[in-house]
Amino acid sequence: MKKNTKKIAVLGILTALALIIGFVENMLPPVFAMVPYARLGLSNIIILLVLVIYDIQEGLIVLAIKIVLLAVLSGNPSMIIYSFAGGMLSILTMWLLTFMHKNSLAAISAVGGAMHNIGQVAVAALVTKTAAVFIFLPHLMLFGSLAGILTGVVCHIVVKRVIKPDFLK
Amino acid sequence: MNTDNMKTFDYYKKSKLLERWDIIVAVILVLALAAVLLITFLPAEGSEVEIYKNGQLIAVYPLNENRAFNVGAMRIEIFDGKVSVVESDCPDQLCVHAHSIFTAGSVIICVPNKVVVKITGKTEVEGITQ
Repeated sequence: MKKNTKKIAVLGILTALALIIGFVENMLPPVFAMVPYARLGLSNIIILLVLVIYDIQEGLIVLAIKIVLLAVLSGNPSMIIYSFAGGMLSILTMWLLTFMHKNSLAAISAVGGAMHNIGQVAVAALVTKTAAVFIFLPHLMLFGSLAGILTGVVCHIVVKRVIKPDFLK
Repeated sequence: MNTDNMKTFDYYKKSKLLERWDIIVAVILVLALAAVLLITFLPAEGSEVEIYKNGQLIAVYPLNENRAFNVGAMRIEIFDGKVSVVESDCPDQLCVHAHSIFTAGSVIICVPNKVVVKITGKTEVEGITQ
């Protein structure tokens, strides 16, 4: 019972964090000037952290709440469908990889970033019924993986330095 | 907390910034990127033929209908989805010797006659950025 209460509280804090990180990131100017639509996806730090300290169910809950609330907050509900496709594809692959206990968080996050872009572009192609949007995929994937490495490294540092070893006990 | 969580958490608590298996992940990512690059930049199918004379668009024909027509002293043929210049009065005959074109974006240019034959297709990227 006590553990459950703690878990709910922690998940609430992490969801809020993911939300505010995403919100602030949306307001910042684009990081890569060449590809203004490429984002760092900083809230992926939180999603990956949830996968590491909890599991996929918790990850999906945090991700879903974050996507819906972020879309409402930024006044752009149409982005829900893109974020959802990308987010789901990304979280599922990252979960599979974290589960295997073989890779570093940086590599897992890089794959997650690339998958996020694949999901987004695939849905964009479906929605607009134009295969031409796939022309965005190569550089989106490249910058997505680079951004993924960055968020993965941050997550690695958080797991190592911030979360105490007896956190789950 | 189930024990699986503990195992995962413990593993990443002890993990290094880069692990040996990351090489495989990196290779797969690079291969995937290369595949995507190849697929997206393969020439797209053309749909229409545009004829320009002196820089002005004078005619547009569908690529999927066979036809032959004259532009000045040049005879241009659309056959089997491919376009070629079959006759021209220009001295070098470069446009006649050029390969027939069929992919979006490819062109045949006859400089002496100031004629450009260009294939258009659905490769124009629509502005979907958000």
